[in-house]
Amino acid sequence: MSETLSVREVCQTLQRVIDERFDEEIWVRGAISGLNRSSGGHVYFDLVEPGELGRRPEASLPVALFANAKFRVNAILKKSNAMRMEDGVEIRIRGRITFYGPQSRIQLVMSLIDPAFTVGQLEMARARLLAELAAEGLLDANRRLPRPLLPLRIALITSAASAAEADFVNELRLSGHPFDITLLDCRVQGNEAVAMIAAALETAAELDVDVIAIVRGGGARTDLVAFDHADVARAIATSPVPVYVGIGHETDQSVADHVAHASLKTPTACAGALVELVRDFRARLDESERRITSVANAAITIAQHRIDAASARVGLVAGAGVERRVAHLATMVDRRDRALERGWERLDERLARCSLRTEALDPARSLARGWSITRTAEGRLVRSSDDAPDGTVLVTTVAEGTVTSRVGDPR
Amino acid sequence: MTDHGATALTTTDGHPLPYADAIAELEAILARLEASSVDVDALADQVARATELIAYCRARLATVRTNVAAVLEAESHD
Repeated sequence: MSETLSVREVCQTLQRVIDERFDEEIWVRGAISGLNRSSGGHVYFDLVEPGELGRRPEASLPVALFANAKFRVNAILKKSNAMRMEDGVEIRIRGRITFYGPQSRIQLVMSLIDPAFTVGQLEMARARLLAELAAEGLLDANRRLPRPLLPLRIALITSAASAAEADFVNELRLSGHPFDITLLDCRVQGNEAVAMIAAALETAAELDVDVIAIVRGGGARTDLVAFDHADVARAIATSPVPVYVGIGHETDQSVADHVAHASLKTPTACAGALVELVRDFRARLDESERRITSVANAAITIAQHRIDAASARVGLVAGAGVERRVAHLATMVDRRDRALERGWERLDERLARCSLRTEALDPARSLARGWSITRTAEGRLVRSSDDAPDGTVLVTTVAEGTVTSRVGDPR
Repeated sequence: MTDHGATALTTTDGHPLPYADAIAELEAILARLEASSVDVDALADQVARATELIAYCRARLATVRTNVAAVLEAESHD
């Protein structure tokens, strides 16, 4: 019959094996999962394989960072200013594997952290993602969109009531331009940040906006991991609206900075860039207005000169026309006067001729020359001796009076 | 319009005798008197008519001349 061990003996054996195998501190790498800060100042989390985040891990190592070591670790982190211990962050830590009998719990008691590893991991992941995006033609996809001419309608993706939002909005307000801001509130750090930012980008693209702005304040490199995430990067790259990012960082850029239409160092600078675009637009508008006014004035001047010249020509032509007509009229008047004169003369002559002819025919003139008219007493004209037989009483009219006589032989 | 003392000759319907009609009548009388031996009594009447027509025509001409002069005077003041 095989040997039967008590629980204590088993635990003591495990303790001994572990102590023998892990007789000194070791370096372990993995991703933080389920980080928990206790009220006693201790920090507990699990270290898992990076690809297993969000899933039930196949390998998981509990880590305890007790308050006495935490002081040293925090000093290292503060000095590096590159990272913060948060879920999802890949870390390389030093510590001792221990076995805690009361709970049969094997854990790593952490003593040191290597920030350079985390930064390096981030850099590698970033380089890998940038290479993928470049291969897919997404690196400058958003930048190829036309620059917004007048970006007054802005979809702002940031954490509501954050300093980043306040800085961004304040900068826009100070400009005095009528910006119309639609805030899409989302987490910009932590596990939910990636999904929320990507979703906000999709929502913003459906709004009637000129530009999308993503802003957040500065932080450790690990605070900004969401902006190095493939989902956020792709959402920015494929957005049909130009995306301006203003992520506070001091040194190198996130992937979001690379794929955005424009990348500014702070939320204030991001807002400033948009203000500058509006200012440029207005300046171009003013310049266009000046040029249009200038061109219009020149055109008006030319037109005025043409009108003046045409007017002068019309005056000359009209004057010449009037002169011709005046001369023509004078000729007509002259012709009329001459015709009138000739008319009077013809009329006078004709009447004078009629008058002379009438006078010539007047019997009184014949009587005056000695001719006489003889009628019988009955008044019949005596044209022949046969008209006055003997005894006929004749009445003869002469120029001055009448003579009465009787026909007969005076002897 | 006045006829300057001449007899105001009229047509059968009472209108002033047109100058052209008066002249035509005058010419006809003279042609008739000159072409044949007219009865002396008729001759005297015809000559009297011709004289009347001549006076009428002279008066008409004088009137027209005065009117034309007035029109031309007005024209010179325009």
